[in-house]
Amino acid sequence: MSATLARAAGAPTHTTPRTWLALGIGWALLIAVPFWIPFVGGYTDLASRVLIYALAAMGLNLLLGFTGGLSFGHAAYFGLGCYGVGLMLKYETHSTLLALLAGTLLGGAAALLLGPVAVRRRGIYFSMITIAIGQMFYFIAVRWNNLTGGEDGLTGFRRHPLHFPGLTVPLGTTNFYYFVLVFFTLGCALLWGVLQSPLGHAFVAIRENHKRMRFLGIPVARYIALSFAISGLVVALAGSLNALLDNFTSPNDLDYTLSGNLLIIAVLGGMRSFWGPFVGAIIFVLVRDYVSSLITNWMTVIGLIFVLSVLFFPLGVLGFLRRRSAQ
Amino acid sequence: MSLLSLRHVSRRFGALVALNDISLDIEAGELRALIGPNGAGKTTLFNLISGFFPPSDGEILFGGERIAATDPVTLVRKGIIRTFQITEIFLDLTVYENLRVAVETAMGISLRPWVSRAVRSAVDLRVQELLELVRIGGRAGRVAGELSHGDQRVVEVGMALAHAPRLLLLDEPTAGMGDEETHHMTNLIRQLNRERGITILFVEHDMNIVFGVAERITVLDNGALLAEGTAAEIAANPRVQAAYLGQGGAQARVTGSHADAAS
Repeated sequence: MSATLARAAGAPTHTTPRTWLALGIGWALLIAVPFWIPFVGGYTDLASRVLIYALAAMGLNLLLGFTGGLSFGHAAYFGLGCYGVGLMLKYETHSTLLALLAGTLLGGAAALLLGPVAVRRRGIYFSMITIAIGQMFYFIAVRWNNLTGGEDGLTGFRRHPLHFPGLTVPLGTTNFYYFVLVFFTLGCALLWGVLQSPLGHAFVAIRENHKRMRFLGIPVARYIALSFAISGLVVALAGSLNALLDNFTSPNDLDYTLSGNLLIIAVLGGMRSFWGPFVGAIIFVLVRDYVSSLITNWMTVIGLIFVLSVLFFPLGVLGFLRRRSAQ
Repeated sequence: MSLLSLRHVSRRFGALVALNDISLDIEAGELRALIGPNGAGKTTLFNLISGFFPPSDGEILFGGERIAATDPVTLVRKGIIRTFQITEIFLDLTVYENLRVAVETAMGISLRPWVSRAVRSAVDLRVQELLELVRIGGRAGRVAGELSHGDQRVVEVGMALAHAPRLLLLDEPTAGMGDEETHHMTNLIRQLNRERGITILFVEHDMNIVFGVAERITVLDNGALLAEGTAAEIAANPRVQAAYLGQGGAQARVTGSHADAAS
């Protein structure tokens, strides 16, 4: 009797009909973007950018919001994805998918190798090491002129049509949006799957209490490094898509300003909720696009919104809306 | 062979000698209390046994194996599990989620990024057993941080039990609890020892509990081993009375509560 009661009360309810409905509506809206976005004054590439930044911030948030590791250097993995794609397309291949795979694996491999270095320290020192590692790649990109194009950035590559047996898909603006949406969905599925698994439970528990996890027999640093690697992989996927969107990349895609922007997106939307960074990315990209057409110093406006949201919605915009609907 | 043996163990912090030349044995199946005034070195002893830090000198044997300077992660796998003086649980997670993480660590599946339905339900079953065992099933869905202090300590004991410990170290399990919660916790400690045969070493300040629950008692004072024996021997030991329990009133209280416990 009490066991069944406990089951009803205790076992975390998995996806309820209401969340399925919300997910369904959300995805229907995303699929329909190219049809409705012109009517609200947007354009399809802007929606692609939202998805890419959302994916990057959600990837970062696995480490930040769900494992408790504050990385200031995730632009490195974003940028490695960008340069991986750019260099592959420029010198090696005409396959967009192969380049995407290469960019993603390059960034993911770097995160896998460098995570263990960063997790040797905790707290502020961890964050400082992540910045240092990130800036290392920035300076490599700036200095290695003949390969990366230096400060001018890497040009001379573009995304090619997808070739399947008996089918060629050109990647114009609309098709490319769907291309991004497919990989955005895959990235979300990966992150969601991890968070529902024992590994994800361990990540969240580490965020909550290092000491208890250690005394439950978990080598905490190794787990944080693993979260770092998965997070870096997803951010690298986003970076790879970003290079394909622009057919261009520059050291700005590796700079810690971008790391900071990804953190702002995650915190603005709500780093404790899975979809929070997605909401943050919508706000960030739209404000940037709109305000930068009016004034050059668009970052001031973002900064103001950020400060206000931290003051008034400490759980982020999505966290705030959730709490209100729960009351 | 004893389950746990300390041989001439010392621990110094700079000039401070926290523990000096401690030797003691705990047999499998024992229910042992560790007492002593504040600063006697009880928590330091727990920290040495659980691998929080290594001894400065001496050897610790667990099941005949040398474990001094072994890290806590390895010691947990060998079966040494502890709770802390200040409760260490996951405050933002529900009671169920707290226990689920503990069960998953105990099953050795924490690295898995996906699990089968069968494994998932095996975890759920084990969590339900633990909720029943420590009698906190009614609060399974509550966020741990909202629970009373006593219930939080019960959750921590439940998490330790997920590992089926060979040696369970409880650091002041009833600290800050009300009468009812204390009663519940002492019953649980007895039950775990008698019905499940778990060897338990616990630190406790409440003499009613110490003399009512423990079979044997070890007394530390000022970093040194002062006495060891059955509850009756300790109660009658004049050195314990003088050094730790004080004179007169305290003596009466100890013998009185011992009589209560025996009756």
